[in-house]
Amino acid sequence: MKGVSFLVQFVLRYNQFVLMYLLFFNLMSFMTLILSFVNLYKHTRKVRYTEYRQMSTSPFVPPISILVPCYNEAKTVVDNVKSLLNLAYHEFEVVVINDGSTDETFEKLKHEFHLRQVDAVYKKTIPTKDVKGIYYAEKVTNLILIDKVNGGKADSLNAGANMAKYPLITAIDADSILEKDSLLRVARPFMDEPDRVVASGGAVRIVNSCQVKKGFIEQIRLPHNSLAMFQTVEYLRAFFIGRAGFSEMNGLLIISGAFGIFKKSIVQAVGGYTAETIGEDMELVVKIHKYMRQNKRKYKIVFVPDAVCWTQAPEDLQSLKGQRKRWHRGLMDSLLSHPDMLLNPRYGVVGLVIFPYYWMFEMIGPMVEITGYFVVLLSFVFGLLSLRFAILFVGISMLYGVLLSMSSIILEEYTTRRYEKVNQYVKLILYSILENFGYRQLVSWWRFLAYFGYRKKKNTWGIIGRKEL
Amino acid sequence: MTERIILYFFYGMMLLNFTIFGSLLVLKIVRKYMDQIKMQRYEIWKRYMYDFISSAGRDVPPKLISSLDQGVIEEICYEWLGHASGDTKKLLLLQLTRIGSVEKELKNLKKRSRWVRARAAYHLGKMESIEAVPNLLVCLQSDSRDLHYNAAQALLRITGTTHVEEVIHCIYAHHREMRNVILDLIKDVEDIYPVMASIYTKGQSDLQVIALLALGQNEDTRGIPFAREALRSVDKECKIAALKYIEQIGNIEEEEFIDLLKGYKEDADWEVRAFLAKALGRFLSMESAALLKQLMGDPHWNVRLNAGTSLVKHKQQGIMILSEVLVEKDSYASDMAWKMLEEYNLYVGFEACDLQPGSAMYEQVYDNIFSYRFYKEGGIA
Repeated sequence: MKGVSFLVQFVLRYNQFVLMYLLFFNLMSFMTLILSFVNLYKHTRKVRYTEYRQMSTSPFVPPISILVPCYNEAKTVVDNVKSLLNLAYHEFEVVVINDGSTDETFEKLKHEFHLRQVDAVYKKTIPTKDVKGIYYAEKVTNLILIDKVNGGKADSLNAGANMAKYPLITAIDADSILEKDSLLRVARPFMDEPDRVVASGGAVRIVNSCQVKKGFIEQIRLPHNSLAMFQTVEYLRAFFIGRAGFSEMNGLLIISGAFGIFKKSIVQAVGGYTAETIGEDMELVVKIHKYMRQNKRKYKIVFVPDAVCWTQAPEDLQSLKGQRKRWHRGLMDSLLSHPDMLLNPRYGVVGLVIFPYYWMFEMIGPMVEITGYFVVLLSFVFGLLSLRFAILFVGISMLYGVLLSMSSIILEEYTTRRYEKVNQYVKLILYSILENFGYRQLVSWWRFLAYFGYRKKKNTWGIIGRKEL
Repeated sequence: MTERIILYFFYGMMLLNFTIFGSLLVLKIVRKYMDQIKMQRYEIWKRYMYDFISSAGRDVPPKLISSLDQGVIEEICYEWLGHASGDTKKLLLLQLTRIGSVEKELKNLKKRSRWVRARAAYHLGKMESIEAVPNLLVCLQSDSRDLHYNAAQALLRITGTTHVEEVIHCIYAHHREMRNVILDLIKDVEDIYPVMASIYTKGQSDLQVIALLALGQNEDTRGIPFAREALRSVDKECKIAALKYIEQIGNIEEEEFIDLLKGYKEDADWEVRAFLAKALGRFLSMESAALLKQLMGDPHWNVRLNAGTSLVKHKQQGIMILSEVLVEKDSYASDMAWKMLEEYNLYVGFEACDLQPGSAMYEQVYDNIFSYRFYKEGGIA
């Protein structure tokens, strides 16, 4: 009897905790939403008089080395490299890093671009796995291929950074497609504030069902596949609310691995990408924050909403599950590797706001959510649950979620406006409602599963079934 | 009581969601409709503007035009102004004045919102409105980056060299790090020498750097005395700016110049040595090539890289020197030389610099390459 009474007390207390947790989370997301409106308002105002066409030929735009790490990307790599070589940018080089692919990635690149092995000087500023060969293209002077022993994505990026000759480096996934002026847009902050800006990231969008020709987007469409459609809504929310809001606070903790620019000197100063982690993109940004704050240097890490990069989203549950588990473990890796930053005033807004937010809501969130469902069941069993209250509570949570999604769609409409059709808008809203009935819970469940079998700093390439576009 | 509050909150959220959804839907439909209308109007006004320009402005536009039409005409004019000159440019500016765009933006330039003012400054610059100059000079002092930058850009477009010095001082005062932004701003200003000479002679080293770089950018040889003076400066940035200037100007036909440059091959700062190596790529003489050969043995990678790149620019003579470096004991130098030769042969080909098979020089280059490869692959040097 005593045990039951203890359980009842626990359930009651836990319910109160979940209620407070949700209130606090919603308050934080509302604040982020306000900040994202401010950030995007300023950005759209500025863009009105930025002459990107002139910038594309200006010698004052900083030159960039584009790093393209690839592992078994034979289906898409040639088209993607071609599209990168055609970007509107004054001076850039494309450094493709073949990370010991076991398919025809290397052969396809070699054949297509007439690559020839050279004895180029490879400076191992950041330690990497052995480089088997460096190849130059016979007719394209700004293309380099590094063929190396398999070491993971971070190791490949470090090899690329070692080989890069320009002061800015950008990491672009081999399966991603950049819009023609994306590079200019994402590099613009480095022109505006060359001494302050150390990294900038663009927005990532879902390319599934879009019409792609020779590595360029011909027609933008929403995905036909429901799973990819849910991810489209998720990405919009993550980029237009999360990233834009955190960027306004200068607390951006993630620059997507699919598309971001970094100052090479800073990347080298922090020891490059961490090879032992899954979330090398987040880890690098955390290391940069740490380094800059420790050295008391003024800096900015910015998000550029209209620099768009298109990427393929998984269309089957298995791939999506794998991706989300990897992402969550990557997040845990970064947060657990820097416990000293949590609530540490030395790290300013990053230590006092962003890190606690990520710990509380991103890392522990799935655990609270999943145990919350279980406790709701227990409450029902013990007769503690007012059905009316529960329905209202769930209803409000869902409506709040839809409100956030709609806000991100409004922000998209006013900044990039890639989805022009009315039916596309209706479809996005519909999926932002539907995602509450199963999809979000499923994603939380997968993220919850990521806790089990988690081993710190264990890294592998993420494998998602790719389609030829 | 609590439940009632939650219930109201629930209804409130429902209402808010429906309102946002409905408003956004209406907005989307209206925007879509307006886009179509705008596209139609765009085609109409584009045809009109073609006629207007081809008839040298004799066609008078309708007196009353809607704000939509005004926006469309502005859009066309701004787009065409980007690549128009002479009479076409004059006609486009005339049209913008006729439809009241200048007047509208002059009013906007006095408004409180810095965003509205920044945009007005940008457009007034495009419209080359002389009337806007006094207000643009006020905007130049603003703390808002967008506003003072756009005002600076507009002033340079409208007045040419008249306010260059003020613009440079203003941008520099706000952002010392924005050297490239200043250079980008003034790159189209003609005959910049008098202003730059004035800035240089005032002696402030940061601004002297800008002056040298600007003169180099315009390939203005009148800056040579300044470059010579800056080379003797103790300030690293000044020395680098002078070397960059020299690189832009190219073959300065003054013998003493090379002698002066020789003094920097052992400069304490590797950046100075690296820029020296780069600048020597524009001095196509025996002396310069010999100096570059010495720089191939520099302890810093960037200096060797620039020296190798500059030697390639010396064509036959440079290739010969690179091949000589291949067989020297300094493996850093020989590896860099090999990288250069390999790249040159890949992208250009030795034939391009008249190294014909059978000639003595050709044989010498290949002998050196063979020795280097033989040594690298484990043979005896």
